[in-house]
Amino acid sequence: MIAALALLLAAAPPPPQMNWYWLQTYQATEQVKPSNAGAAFLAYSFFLGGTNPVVARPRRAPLVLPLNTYRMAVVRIDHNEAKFNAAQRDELARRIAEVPALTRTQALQIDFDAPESAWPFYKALVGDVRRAIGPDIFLSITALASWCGANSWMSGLPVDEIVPMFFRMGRQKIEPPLAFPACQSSAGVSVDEPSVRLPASVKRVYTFQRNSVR
Amino acid sequence: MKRRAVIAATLLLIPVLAWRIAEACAPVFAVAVFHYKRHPDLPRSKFIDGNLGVIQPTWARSYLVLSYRHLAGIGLDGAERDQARDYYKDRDTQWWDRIGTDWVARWRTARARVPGISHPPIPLTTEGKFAFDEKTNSFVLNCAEDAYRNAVYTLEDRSRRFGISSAAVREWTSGQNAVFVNCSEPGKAIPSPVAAGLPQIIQADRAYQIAAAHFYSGNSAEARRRFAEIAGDSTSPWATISNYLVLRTSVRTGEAGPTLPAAAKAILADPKLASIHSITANLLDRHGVVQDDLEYFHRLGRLLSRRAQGNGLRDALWNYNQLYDHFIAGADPNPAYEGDRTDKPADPAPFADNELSTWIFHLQGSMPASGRIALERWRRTRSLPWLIAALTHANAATASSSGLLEAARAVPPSSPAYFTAVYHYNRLLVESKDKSAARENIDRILGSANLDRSSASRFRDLRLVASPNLSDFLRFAVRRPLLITDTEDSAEVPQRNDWYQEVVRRFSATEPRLTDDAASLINHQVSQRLLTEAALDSTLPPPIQREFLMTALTRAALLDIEAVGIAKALAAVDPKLAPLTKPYIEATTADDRRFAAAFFLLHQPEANPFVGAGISRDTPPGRIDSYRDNWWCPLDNFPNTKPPGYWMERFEEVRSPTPIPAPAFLSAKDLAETADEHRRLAGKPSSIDFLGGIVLAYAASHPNDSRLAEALHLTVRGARVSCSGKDSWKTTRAAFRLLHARFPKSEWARKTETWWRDY
Repeated sequence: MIAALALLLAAAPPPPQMNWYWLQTYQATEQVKPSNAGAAFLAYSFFLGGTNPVVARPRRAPLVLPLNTYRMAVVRIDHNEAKFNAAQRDELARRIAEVPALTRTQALQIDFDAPESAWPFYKALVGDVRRAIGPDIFLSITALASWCGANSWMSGLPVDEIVPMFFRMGRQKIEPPLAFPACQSSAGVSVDEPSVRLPASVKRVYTFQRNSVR
Repeated sequence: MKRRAVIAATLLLIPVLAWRIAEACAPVFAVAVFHYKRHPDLPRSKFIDGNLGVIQPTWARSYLVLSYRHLAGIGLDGAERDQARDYYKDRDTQWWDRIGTDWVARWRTARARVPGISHPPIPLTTEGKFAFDEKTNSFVLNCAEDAYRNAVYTLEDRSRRFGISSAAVREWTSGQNAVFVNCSEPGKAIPSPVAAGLPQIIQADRAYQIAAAHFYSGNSAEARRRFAEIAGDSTSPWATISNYLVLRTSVRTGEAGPTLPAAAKAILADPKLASIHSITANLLDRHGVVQDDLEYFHRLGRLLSRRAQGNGLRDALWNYNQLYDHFIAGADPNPAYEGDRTDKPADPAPFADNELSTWIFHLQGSMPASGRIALERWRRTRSLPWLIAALTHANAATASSSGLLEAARAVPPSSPAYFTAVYHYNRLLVESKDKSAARENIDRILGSANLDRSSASRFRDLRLVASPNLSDFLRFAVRRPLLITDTEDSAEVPQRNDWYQEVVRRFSATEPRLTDDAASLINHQVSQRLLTEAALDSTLPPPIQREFLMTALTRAALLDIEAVGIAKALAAVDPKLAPLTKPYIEATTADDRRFAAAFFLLHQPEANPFVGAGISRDTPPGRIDSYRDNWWCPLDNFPNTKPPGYWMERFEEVRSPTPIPAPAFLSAKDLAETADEHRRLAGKPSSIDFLGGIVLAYAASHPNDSRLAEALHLTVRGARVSCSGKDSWKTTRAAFRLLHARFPKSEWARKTETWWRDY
């Protein structure tokens, strides 16, 4: 009964405020603000290099959260001279799809930086993951704000949410609102950068905590 | 406390030992490695199996531990070899030659052969090792590789006993599958007891599987109770290991209290439990019970010198090497980084407890008296380890009278000490001037099938010195390196970092190159006459012949010797040079010849009176090197020329020549000739002062020569990009002023906008 209740709670969409927890060890029992914020915690890092098999690194840093905190598992994909081939996509999709069950979460976020040449790879990858996890897992992806133009390559992605990131943009400063409709309802910001004026369309904000290590 | 934290990290199987401590912020250059100084040849599985090759005291100490075991007749059994391979996997060295085993993959393969049962998937993401801890939202290592290795070996054994298709093996495999489900999903599957009709050993296996499933599920009390029961069942094959697992369960859950030391020491005191002594000792340290580091270091040294260390060898190697590093500290004769070395003399006391530590300490020459001590130890023990240590330090003067030569010759080919003993025997022959005997021996040994490439290279270095004539010398002077790496790589490993790959990928490892010893001998012992003879040898690879010719021509210019034959050969080897060598070849006076040489050499920044080993020079011939490896430095104190910067490798070598015996083909007259030339070279100024001086003198006597403006420009430019002397600015200023005074409208004056006083 309790387990079923917990599942119902977890299957709900993320709250309006989500905190990102990257690789730091964190005792969040007291510090989380607001108190009803959810936690998007880095659960796995994947690395693609050349044509090599995927290298996977699980989160080893403890993250203690208040009871009943909404939890979203985040997977980060890094690459270096990757060929982005079909074998890598297949393996990566299978690994990512395992994460919600392993972490007992009902929400998954994929975080990646894709060069233009890899957009088809990521588009197909997100589709593969969605098919593998089914429709009940809340699927979120992060995006560079520059991807959110009117003719975005992300058009048609089977995700519940796209989170454009309005920080670490260097000289290429892009401010909301963004032209691509799917990029308008969520936003990622960082507390260590000047605040971004978010439009009313943004219903959910992801925030990097101070001392986050990306 | 700090040390304990370090050891604890290693015990968690985190591959922490990065050879490269930090990315370099200084220039990095490619270097060719002809023999490995830090590790045996690859793949290391041959070394682990006892084919030691020529043992180098400069190897990382883990290799010396394994060498000692083989030399002392302790060796490594099958389990210990697995442990050694996994140790190098932990050290992030697996990718060099991938000798480590992926035990999870082997388990998958092994279980797939058992027919008639379905196998639960092993999650790709956790690789069957990590369990998610909901309290900390992180993954913890639950099933270490040892578990999978143990399962593979047990399955192989039970299959041999009962047949792979038997009900017993099917039952065992199903049970083991259930155990491993708990690795990533704790508590999901506890095997049931087996049917009474199955063999007794399968019943015992199942009892162990059930206890293990509780262990991985985090049911510590139940796991401990069951392991204790098994430990008391003398009929169970798992009785011995279960004594250890009772303790380990307590440590893992943090329930181990003050009773742990007593319980562990009871195991360590029981000779019947010898096979778990090593892992129990490691467990004690992991728990922080051992307070006296030195005592622990001694115990590890003694454990590593014994047979049947089984599953403890991997941890013991880690901890022993960490502690050895701690105790030797700045007195390490072989530091990974020179900056770690201090002037503090090595204290032998921490290494005196056991033979292993003492042997490594003296083999590496940690004290000035190490050679004498090694010889005394060998005389007393007549053991192979001490024979090798004594031979390593021996010189020709003492080797014969001490009996070392005879002892070395008596080592049979089947011995793990064979190649090391033969190497030093022949090294001592070469040093004692009996080079012809050494030559025959080495030629024979180079044909040995078991000789690894790195050791063969050491023998070829000896053979080089034993060469009876110049052409034979050149045959051994040039060879393919084992590896192209970079100057920041203290571990001699292939580069996988993009930045370093960028540095090394420009150079082919399959191209023959001049070895370090050969370059040293040519620079310090070979005269201009013989260098010229060598340079005209058309059997040399073209890039090396070109460098020899350029070096010979540069030396000829410095010694004011006519070298038309060399100039002609240069033009033949590199036809692009023909327009510049032609005036030299056709010069009719000494002045014309000097100027033609200077004009030519000013166009060739690779010109140098010394040859370079391996990569030699980072920038292709004819192009200015961005790090001032252009022409040569002042030779005023030659051969003690202070290098201008660490990047000029060949000047570093010139400053500190490698002590190598004179090659057999060099007579006393040859060596005297070389010494005379070196005396004449020793007063020569920097390249630009020398070449610019010729240009300025020629300008005074031949004011209308059409090449002058360009020569003056090259002089000014050259001073800016080469290793100048402190007064080179005077030459540069004179060249600049003359260029602008005499040829103000020339393109060379336009290209020469300024001169520089300070470089």
